[in-house]
Amino acid sequence: MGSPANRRENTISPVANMLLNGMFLILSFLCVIPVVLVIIVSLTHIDTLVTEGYQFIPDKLSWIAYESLFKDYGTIFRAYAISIGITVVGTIASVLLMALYAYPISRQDYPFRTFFTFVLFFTMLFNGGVVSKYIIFTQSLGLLDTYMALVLPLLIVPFNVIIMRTFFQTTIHPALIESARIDGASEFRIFFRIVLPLSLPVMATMALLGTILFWNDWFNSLLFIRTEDKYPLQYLMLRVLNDVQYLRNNVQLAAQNPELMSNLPDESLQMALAVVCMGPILLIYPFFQKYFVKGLTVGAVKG
Amino acid sequence: MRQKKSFLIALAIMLAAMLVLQACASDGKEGGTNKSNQATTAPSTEPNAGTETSKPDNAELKPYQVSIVYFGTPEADGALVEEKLNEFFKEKINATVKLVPIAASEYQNRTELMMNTGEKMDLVFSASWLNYFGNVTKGAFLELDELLDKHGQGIKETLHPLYLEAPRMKGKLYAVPTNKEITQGQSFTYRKDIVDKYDIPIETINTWGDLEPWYEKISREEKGMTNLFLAGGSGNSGGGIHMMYETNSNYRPVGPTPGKTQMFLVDYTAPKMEVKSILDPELVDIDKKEFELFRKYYEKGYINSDAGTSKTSAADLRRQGKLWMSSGVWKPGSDIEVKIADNNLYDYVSHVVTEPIVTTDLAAGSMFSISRTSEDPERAMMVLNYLHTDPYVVNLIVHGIEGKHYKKVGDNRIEPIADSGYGTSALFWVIGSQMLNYLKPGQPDDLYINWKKFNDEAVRFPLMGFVFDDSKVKNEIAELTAVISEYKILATGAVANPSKVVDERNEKLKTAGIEKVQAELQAQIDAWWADNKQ
Amino acid sequence: MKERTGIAYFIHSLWKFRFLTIMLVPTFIVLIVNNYLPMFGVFIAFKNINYIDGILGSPWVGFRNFEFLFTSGSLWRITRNTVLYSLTFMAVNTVLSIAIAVAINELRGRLAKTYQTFLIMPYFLSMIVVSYLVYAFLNPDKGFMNASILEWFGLDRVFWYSEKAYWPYILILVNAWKNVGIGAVIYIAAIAGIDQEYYEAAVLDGASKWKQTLYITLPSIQPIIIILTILSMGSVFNSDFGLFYQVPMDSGALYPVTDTVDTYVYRVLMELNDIGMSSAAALAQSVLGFVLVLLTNSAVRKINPDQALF
Repeated sequence: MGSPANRRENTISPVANMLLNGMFLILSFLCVIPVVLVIIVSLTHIDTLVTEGYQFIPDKLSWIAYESLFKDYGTIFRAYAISIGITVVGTIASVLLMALYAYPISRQDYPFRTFFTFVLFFTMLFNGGVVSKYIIFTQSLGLLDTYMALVLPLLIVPFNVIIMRTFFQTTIHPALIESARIDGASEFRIFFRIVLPLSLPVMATMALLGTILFWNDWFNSLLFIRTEDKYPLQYLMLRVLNDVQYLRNNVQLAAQNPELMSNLPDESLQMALAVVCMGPILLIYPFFQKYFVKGLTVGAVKG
Repeated sequence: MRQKKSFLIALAIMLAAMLVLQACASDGKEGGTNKSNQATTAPSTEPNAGTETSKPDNAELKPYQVSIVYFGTPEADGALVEEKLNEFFKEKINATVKLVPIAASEYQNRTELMMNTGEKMDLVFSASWLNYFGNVTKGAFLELDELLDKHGQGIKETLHPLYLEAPRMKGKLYAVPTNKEITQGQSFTYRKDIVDKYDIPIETINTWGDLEPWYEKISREEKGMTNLFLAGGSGNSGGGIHMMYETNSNYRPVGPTPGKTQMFLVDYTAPKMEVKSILDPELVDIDKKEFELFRKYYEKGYINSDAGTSKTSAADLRRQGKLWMSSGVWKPGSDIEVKIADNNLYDYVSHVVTEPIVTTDLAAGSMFSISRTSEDPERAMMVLNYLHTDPYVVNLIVHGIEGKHYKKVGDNRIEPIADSGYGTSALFWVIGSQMLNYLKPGQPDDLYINWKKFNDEAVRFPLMGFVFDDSKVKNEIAELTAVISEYKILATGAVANPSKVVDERNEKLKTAGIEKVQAELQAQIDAWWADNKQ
Repeated sequence: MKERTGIAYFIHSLWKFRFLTIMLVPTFIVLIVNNYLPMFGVFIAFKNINYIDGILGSPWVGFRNFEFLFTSGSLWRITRNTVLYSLTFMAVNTVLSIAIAVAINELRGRLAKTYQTFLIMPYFLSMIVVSYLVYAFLNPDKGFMNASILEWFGLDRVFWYSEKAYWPYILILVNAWKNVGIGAVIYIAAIAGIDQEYYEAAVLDGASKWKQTLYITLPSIQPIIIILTILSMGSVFNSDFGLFYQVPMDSGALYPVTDTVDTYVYRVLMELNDIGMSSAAALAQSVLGFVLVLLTNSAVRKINPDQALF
């Protein structure tokens, strides 16, 4: 509890403040500059690309990459739809499952708490490796080329469950649960009516973390997805980064205009795809930032 | 104390549960493949049941779905073609087919993973350059000699006998090659308009070095044109290595090629088959000379600057009119094949720089095997026989449906319909018999007659039919692969000081056991020679 | 309360808390399927797999799949790369995150929140997107580095994707760029949680800002630093596959400095098509990581038992 007067005394000098602000301006700038470059490259005209390479201030601009990209909306929209679907379903399932696990092990009176915490914790220490996982998933579970194979591996993040557990432990007073039980509420009622509403910040954080995790995942697609119709966005980008031909072929078919195609630089097409893909996340995250920071820190700091 | 006890009990329960789950999982494995199999068969047979009711002579054959896994880009109308094929096969042998095209860049990884995990497949496209012999050693494919006698009479009648000598391992046949040209001469292929414009004497250009003045000229005169496009991204052989030894010597590759890199060669004109590795001074000289040359080309910008990491195919660049020459393989009609592949945009001319010889690898360059996981190999062989003998089936897969994907303009001649949704993936050299393919615009009428002549006249590589068995040097090959993957991009010119790097590479190859592999290869060749050449 | 025997107590509590148990059963099953079943798959590392006998039936070969790791020297290289990068990342990221957190905490005005928004942005991008960003800078022909920066200084072009000397720095930079911001957020919160009275007392004693940071801020957030460090010790043998595989575009010439256990396992799986050998490498990775966590934890426990994880 510092009085205002005290706090002012303990602040840095205006010069230092300016220096720090300057430093943070530069740092912020460094964080966004690569994204800006990619956006500009995606808009650069082929003539400028050939003669000057990638520039922050190109001589000539062109929308051609985006035009072609959206002519072939089939490929991209499908990938978008798949990514959104997986992200939404995966995130909801993930948050719910993790909360349902975190709550019992947060309860001091639950006798199997130690065991189930250990079961969870052990997965953070040891894993079977990617080869073994691949074989179990494809052989025993038959998940090859299914969306399930993209969701299942990311459902439970042990560290996040621990954060949730800590959150429950610290914010939900045992007396609250005890009194609800005396009123005759069942465990499920207590969980859904009392615990969850009180834990919204951590739920929101987990939802955001889950969204990022599912949206940005490509490794599981690399392992398990075979059919081109099932490519999520990130995997589509991966294919195109290695082989721009793949997207070009599709675009070419849609555009049916060879002249247009010869003016369409590979780089613009690649970079335009990157912009289209990172767009949603960049637009959304500032709105969630508040919850995110709050939830993440409560769990981690007190864990 | 109490807590500890309950913990232990719970632990025991968990372990028990896990064992049960594991057992379930491994049970599910055997059942799983069957189930998924039935599931995929059911929907595809249903629609046909109503359309075809004629009682064929196959009444005793149960319905079966033959999956065909092949090297090709999936196309929009694949399902329509599959439907047509099903109509045909339903009537003939009560079978349906499932077309599984897999794009070039992923083909090997994907099929080998399918083999590893025991996925159900029937006909599988395989080739020497797709690790066919390695997969045979691991038991991926079924022996075909008996099946061929029983259900593959058509294949035996039409296929050049030399073809069936190559894909053998310890005397047993595991694949049936596609019927086409059996070998290819190595060549430089140029765009005709450029050759005419600059009056390039292509007949005199026989090595990479000969191209230098022309690269220089084209770089100066034609802005934006790439002279030599190399894609050295991992998984590729690494560009310029192609034709390096062939244009400079009589050495031809034999034996294992770790990481798709030629490491062991023999002089095919010599009376005695003496194996040399790329550590041999003569070959080191060629390596250094050629790598230095590529480095020079790279630094001068004749080679694409992303050659070290690119995985893009050169065809794309060619179609955009940004590439005027490439190295390749030649057979009668190949220039027109390139032209067709490039939407008839440009004409091409080639100059063949090496004598076409038939090696095991070339004769086994495009084949179909029957997977060990096939549940009805006999039916698979029946389908394969149709692919080799029935023009309707072959052309359906390669060109699509008449009237929809192509127009018939002559007895044996067609015109593809642009952007029709099928027929752009080059399947002619993949499926069955290319000799049954309808001719496309530009292809001469006597194409297939010329091929038969070409095949009959081809020179036989002395070691044709020899196959290396790597089981004794598996670890060494793995190590050589690991070493070479780091140095493959030498051949793209993207590395500075290539001569120095070659020495460094060779040192590591030596440590990795290249000499042991060489000795093993020599021993196997000597044994094979004694058995087959006396 | 009446004394019960172990089993009776167990059954009693099983019944009494059945609803809580039912709650966590679905997740428990997911953990078994996704994490525990693959642990059994490690037996593949001791087998020579062939297609005929299948995975279960193939012959056991003991440690032969591991030999290859040792004889080729690959094990040394990939372990060295993985561990050194992990440690460097940990050190660089922790120091930078704390520095940023301390600095941002001192800022006056409302700008701090805005800076935070920018600083955590890279965290939200996938590694695939990051590889595109890096490629925009390093493309040999047109990349911003070659086409602009080096040209301004009159320097020769650098073929980034085949010059291994630069990559350790590039990788450290990219990693820091992506993760420092989010790390800082955690420390910012930790610093915000420090009781203001300490600072007030320090001001009365005439302690400078620097002294306050050194003697109040850092010691106060020390537990969190330790917890996060122990946790990341567990992944010292793991590497961000995207960072080491996609960002350098899987360029062969860079393997000496970019090859880590994860990329190696993947490549061996894909190129050699030998699941036995790649399982062996993966198992070695898991075991080493496991041992390292135990060691770190026991070391921490020796120094300060309260701060150990278990």
